This record gives sequence, C-alpha cells and structure tokens, in this order.
Amino acid sequence: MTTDTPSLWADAEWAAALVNLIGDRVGGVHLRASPGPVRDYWLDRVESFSEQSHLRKIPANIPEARLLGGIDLAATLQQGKPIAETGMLGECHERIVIAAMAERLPRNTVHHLCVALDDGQLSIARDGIDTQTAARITLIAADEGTEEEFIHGALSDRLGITVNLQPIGIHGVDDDIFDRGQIERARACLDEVMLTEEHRIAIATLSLTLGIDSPRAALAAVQVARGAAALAGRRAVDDSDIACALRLCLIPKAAQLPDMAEPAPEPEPQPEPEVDQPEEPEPPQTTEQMPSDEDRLLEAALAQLPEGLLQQLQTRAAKVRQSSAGSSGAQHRHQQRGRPTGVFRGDHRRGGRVNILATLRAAAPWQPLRRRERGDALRKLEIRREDIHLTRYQQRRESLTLFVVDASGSAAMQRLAEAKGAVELLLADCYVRRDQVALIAFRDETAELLLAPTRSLVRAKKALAALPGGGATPMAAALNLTRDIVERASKQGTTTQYILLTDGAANVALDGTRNREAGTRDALTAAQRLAVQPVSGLVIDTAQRPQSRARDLADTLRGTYIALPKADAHTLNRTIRAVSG
Amino acid sequence: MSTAYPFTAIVGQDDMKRALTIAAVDPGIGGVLVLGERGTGKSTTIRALAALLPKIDVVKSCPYQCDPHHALPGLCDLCGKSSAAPAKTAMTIPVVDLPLGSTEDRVVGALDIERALVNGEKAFQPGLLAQANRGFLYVDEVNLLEDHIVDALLDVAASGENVVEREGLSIRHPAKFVLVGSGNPEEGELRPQLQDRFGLSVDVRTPSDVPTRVEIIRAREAFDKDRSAFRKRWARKESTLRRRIQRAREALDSIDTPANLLETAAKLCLALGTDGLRGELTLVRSARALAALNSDPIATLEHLKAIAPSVLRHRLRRDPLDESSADIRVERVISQLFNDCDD
Repeated sequence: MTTDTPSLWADAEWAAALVNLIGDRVGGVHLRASPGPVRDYWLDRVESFSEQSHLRKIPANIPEARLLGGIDLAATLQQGKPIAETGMLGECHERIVIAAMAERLPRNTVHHLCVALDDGQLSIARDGIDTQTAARITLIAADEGTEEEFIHGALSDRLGITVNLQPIGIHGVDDDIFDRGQIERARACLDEVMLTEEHRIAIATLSLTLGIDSPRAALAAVQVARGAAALAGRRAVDDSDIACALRLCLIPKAAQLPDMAEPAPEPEPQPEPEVDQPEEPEPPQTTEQMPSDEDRLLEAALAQLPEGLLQQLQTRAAKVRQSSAGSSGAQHRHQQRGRPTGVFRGDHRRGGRVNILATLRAAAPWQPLRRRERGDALRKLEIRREDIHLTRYQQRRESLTLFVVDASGSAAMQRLAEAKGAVELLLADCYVRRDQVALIAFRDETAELLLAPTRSLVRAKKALAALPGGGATPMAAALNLTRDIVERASKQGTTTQYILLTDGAANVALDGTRNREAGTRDALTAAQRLAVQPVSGLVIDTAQRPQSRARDLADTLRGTYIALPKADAHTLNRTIRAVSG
Repeated sequence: MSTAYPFTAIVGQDDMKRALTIAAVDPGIGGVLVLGERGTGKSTTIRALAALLPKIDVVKSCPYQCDPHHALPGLCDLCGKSSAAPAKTAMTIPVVDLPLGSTEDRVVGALDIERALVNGEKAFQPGLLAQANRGFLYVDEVNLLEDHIVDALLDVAASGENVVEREGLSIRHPAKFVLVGSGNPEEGELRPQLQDRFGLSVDVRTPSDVPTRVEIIRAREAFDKDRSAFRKRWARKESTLRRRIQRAREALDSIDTPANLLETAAKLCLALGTDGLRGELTLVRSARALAALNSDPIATLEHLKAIAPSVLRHRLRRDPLDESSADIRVERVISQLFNDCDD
C-alpha cells in the first residue's frame, strides 16, 4: 500500500480483490450497504475480478427445499422413483454467491449457510432424499440493515471481511486499483507469504483488546494480512498489511474500542522484525514488548481510518452488543416451519410442499385404468393434477411478552427490587409457555429497549439485573416505545402482551421537560394511542401505597390493573393467563 | 472426511474433548450436550470425533449395523431371526448428522417409494436413526430443532428402539445412539425433556488469553496451508487416542466400582436435589469410563470428582433464571462433600 490514508473506497476495492483471492478461507464478506449504484459498482468489481460470469444471488425468502435441494418433482413423476435435485448451495460450490437482504434471512437459512461455510458440504435428509452435497461457497451477505435489523451473529461471525459502503456516496468512488491479472499473480504466491510470530501475537492481542470474543475474526485477519501482502507483491506480511486486516476484519467487529483519548506512549521506532525467516513456534515470553507493538499497530490502523468512522463504530458497537443474537432471525423463525399435521389435496402451483408419498398413493389405484384409457401400456406411471397432495403445516403463533419497567426514582429503589422480583416470576412463566420476551426500561429522560424480543431468558435476566434506578418518570416516552414494539411485532404476526410496572407518576413530557402536568397529559395521550392497538396489557402498580394514578392509567390503556403488594407469584400468573386468554 | 480437523489438534476445550471421549467409551452414558458461544469450536470438535472413532464389527449388509457377537434383544428382526453365524465386516463407528430442516420421514425412516412403485413392494427405507445405531447422532443448533423432530428423538433416545407406524408400515428396529447436541444458549432454550436425555453437558467458552489465541491462529494456518500434511503430523496422536478409546471400551466391563463410590454418587445427587436416578447412574458410569480411559483398574472418587460437573450441571432442579450459577452450585457441593470425606 502506498497511500497513507486510504479512502473508504480503497478499502472496499481491497476487499473486492481479497474476496476473490482468499474468500474461501475467510468465509466471505459482510457487506453493509444500501441498494444503489455504489453497491452495484462494488459487486461489479468483485465480479470483474472473478472467473464467474455472473454472481448468483440467494433471495432472502428462498424455500429450504430450493436452498438445500430436495425432490425434483417433474423428474420424479416422470421416472416413477425419487429423483434428487441439487439445491442452490450445491450449485454454487466453489463460487461466490450473494445473499440478498441478509438481515432478514430466516434462522434456518442462516444455519444452512453457516454449515456450508464451516464444512464446505451439506448433508440433506428430507423428502425421501438422503445425501451429501459439496457446497464450498464464498458468501457475500448484502446487509441493508437499518437501526433495528441486524444480520444474524452466527453468520457475521463466519464472514471474515466487513465492507461498509454506507458512508460512501457516488462521488466517493475512486479509481480502480486492481485488475484480474494482479489477483491471479497474487494467488500464485499466496502460500509463500510469510507471517512472523510478532504479527500473529499482534493480531491475537488486538482482537482481544477490541473485545472480540470469537477467534474466527483473528483467523480471518491472518488470512487477510497474507492476502494483502500477496496483492502488494510482497513475500512477507508487514505492518501495512496488518493495518489492512485490522480495518477489514477486526475493527468492524469490535465490541469495545481502546481508549484513544489518552495519548498512547510514543513507541520507539523499532527495527522491523526479520520477516523472511519463519519463526519457530514458541511460547510468547516477550510480554513487556507486546503491548507497545500492539499499540503501535492499532494506532497505525486507526490513523488510517477516515474521520468520523470511529464515532460511527462506537455507536454501532454499543448496538451490536445489545442485540448480539440478531432480532430479525428470531422473528422469522417459524415462517417456514411448523408441525406437519396431515396432507390435503391441492394445487402445488399455489405454494405449499407436495407430499410425494400421498400423491403417489392417491394415483396408484387408477394406474391400470389410466393405462387402458390411453392404450399405452408402456408408460409406467400417470399422475394427474387431482392426485397432487400437499402437506399441511400447523404454524404456532408466536407470542411476545413485553415488560415495561419503571426504574425512576419515584418508583422507589426498594420497590424496583420487588418489581424485578415480580418480573422474574413472570419470566419463569414465559419460559413454560416458550414466549419471546422483551424489556423496556424508562427513567430520567428516555425509555430504552433494553432487550429486543428474544427467547433467551438468560439474556432477559442479565438485562434486568443490570437495570439501574433513579431519576424522573418519562411515562409518555415509554408508552410510545411500547406502541412501536407492539406494532412491529404484530406486523410479523406475533401476538403481544405488555406488562407495565409503574407507580403511574408521570413527570417528564415528551419533549423531555420535567413537568408533572405536561408529563401526565402526554402520558394519557400516549396511553390512548396504545389502547387502540390489538394488544392486551397489564398494569402492575408498584407504588408503596397504591393511589389512583396507576389505576387511571390502566383504565386509559384498557388494561388490567393489579397492585403489586397483592401480587404474589400465583396471583400474578393467574392474572397474566387471564389477560393473555 | 479425510480433510476434517484432527481432534487432538484442537486447542484447549479439554472439558468438551473429555466428555466426547467418555461418550465414545461408554455409549450408554446418554450423549453429550455442548453449549457455548460462537467460535468456540463446538462443531469442529464434534466433527473431528468422527475421524477418531475406532472400528466395530457389524453384520454385513445390515442396515442397522447390528453387532454380530450379540444375541437378542438389541438386534434388528432380520439379524435376530437368522440362526447361522452372520457374515461380519468392520466399520468405523458412524457419526450421523441430523441437519436442521430434516423431515420426519428421513429421520425415522419411511416407505421406500421407489420399490413400492417399481416392484410393488412394501419396503422400509431406514432413516437417520437407523444409520446412527451403535454410533453417534449429531444435532448442530439443537435448540432450534423443530418440535416434532424433537418428539421423535425423545422417545427413541429413551427406548433405544425406533418404532415406525406409518404408510402401512409396521417396523421396529434398534436405534441406540449417542446423542450429541450443540448450540448457542443465547438463541433459545432447549426443551427440558430433551436436555434431560443428555448424560453429560459441557459449557464451552472462547479462550481469552493471548497465547491460546496465537496457538489457535498458528494451528489453523498450518491446517489451511496443507490439510493432509497437517493431518499427517497429528496422525500419531490421533491413533494413540483411538487406541486408548478402543482399549477403554474393552476394559470397561472389568472396571471395579467400590461401594463408597456409589454412596458418594448418591450423596452428591441428594445434596444437589437432582431429580430421579439418572444422575447417579450416569455419575457412576462416567467415572468408570474415565477410569477405563486412564487405564485405571478401579473407578475412584477422583474420577467421580472430575466428571461430576459435566454430569450434574444440567440436572439441577430447574430454575430457568439461574442458569449461570449451575456450575458454581455443583462445585460448591462437591467441595463440601469431598472435604467431609477427607475428615
């Protein structure tokens, strides 16, 4: 690399070259970009570097049967025996493939992609087919994710390179750096590129400093550093390659950023380590020297980051941590699933999965008759449209219990502890019913979604335990946020109930001013809006001596009111059951 | 899979490796549940196990890998009926993948449609459960498994027999397998009934010290560079462990179990308030398997102590909100109990 501060586009160009060079070793690219000319151009660049004529695209709504392969209906009916059909992942063996709208992929699709990335092959056991398919893919996960939607963590973890095109406008697209010939030349010398033990330690240390739990990121960084050296025509990895790996692999996955406000101690300009001799694997005993090396590399990499990116990363890191498991996947989990509850005669062109066995069984008795009818004894099997049977699935309706917890000072600290206790009891009940849970807390100026809908009670419990108390009561903001979540959930066909734990003393208006009157007025307006949603609510009064405030609120919300003092486990559970019907 | 990562080359994760090896020694222990975050090498380790397992004798061309040295029960109908000594062949203990998205017909087996149509025969096409008989059945992301597949698994895992009553078929065949499940607990809870089926459970974490991380990077680099050379380098360790498992399998029946071991196992379960007898039985069996693995003639309290957290972790009286403290609870009771024993 010759440029001192590579532009964002330059990084993207490097990534496009690297995905062709070492894509199969790093899984692929997590591409964060809105659809548009910049993304199209970047994908064009990837394509121009590859031997593929065009990059195939996996749509987000691809049925499992098509993704994995399954029974080939036409061929099966024609030949009278099950004929397997290769799925899309098998067809894309040793190719680069794009997953469109990766943030909305159903959980099962994510899983199959992960298996393909891990093992390079898939085992398929469905619809009478039982086979293994080679599926070594390089995946470009096109993530158009907004604030609320994230690509699933299991998938992003397996994609070594992250490219963020979002801050790049069409004018930010610079000159091309590479051509296909360079990539072919780099491929030829890729395996000879040397990596010193210092650099290995630096990558391991940096990945830990940046709070990256999974070792996969560091493994990818090693590959990217080698690839970058090969692309630059070097036979040994140097600091600029490590910086490149940091920018493409580690920093985008950072869960924490080292404190850069404090000026890092200026390291002595060390002589470059002898790069050409391979280091014998030995335990790193040079612990004193390590941090400075790491600081130097990290600083070098950060210095090369365009301005403003750091802040962006910082805010994103916080968000990613908050919903590490990815919310969209969980919500879509049951779209294609459910328990097969039987078969029915139907038209397969209207969707649904053909049940071959039932279809063949329906056709069997008529075969002699049909053969005679056609005067064609040779044809083994004749299936008519009325024979087609489809599998019927019973889909369980998802339900979500949303906890809205008042953590303000008026709700009083000791009452907050009790409220937490009550929520835990309720959580246990959600566990039995296998509900999703989500948690909103409100205090001081804002209401915050502490936990996006999840089925993991461990996370709910953690979020709850970490909830601080004190401050004013922004009731209106809390109710508005509740309404947002309820709306989003009902769009996805989830039934929601919310449980609001509060003393009802609203004293922060929507605009953030502390004013009891305005606060109460805004809260009532918000409550009326929430009341028209198709959702059942429960207001648990946490006031020391229950007054009419929370009851009035419950009335406005058209929810059930219950005072906490009486709310022992059994009463609460009974009430929740009554509310959720 | 000759290009799988070698089991012995996996850096760290000793708990997981030990639990899997123990399950390979004594399949009756009831399987292993591996829970952990992303990137802990869960599935790599389990898939690596397949390349490590010793060979077993099976009846030739039996779809259920029946044991030629065994008599009824536990054989399939065909092998059970034949009176002549069956032709036998050796095969590596199977590790069968149960992928998410499997359909029930392929899991439990179903009517062989080809033979039904072509020859007009009503024949059974065995499913994954048949393939896994006497071997391992691996479910990645076990907490995402569809409920109706879980139902099918639960019954078979308990009885060791797969009963198929569908499409005019009425078949029963042996299906004794070691169930191995892995998953990320952040993505959802495992059904308690399924969790109970697992004999051992391990919690895997990502290593967070630099030297281990560097070692992971180094090992993976070498593996990616030249897979067969890497495997060759580890071949000796692999075959040593394979022989150790093989020897332990043979020695298992002759391991002594002193009375105080049984007593301690019972006390431990009582102190922890685990439900049922399964915990005690698994404790004793695992201690024996560990003793066999270490070439010790007697199962001792040390073995018991080493294996107790894995056996009991998931059996504590279920408080779904108190997940994190399970390990601590087990260890506390163990240390209390063993201190008492020492006095």
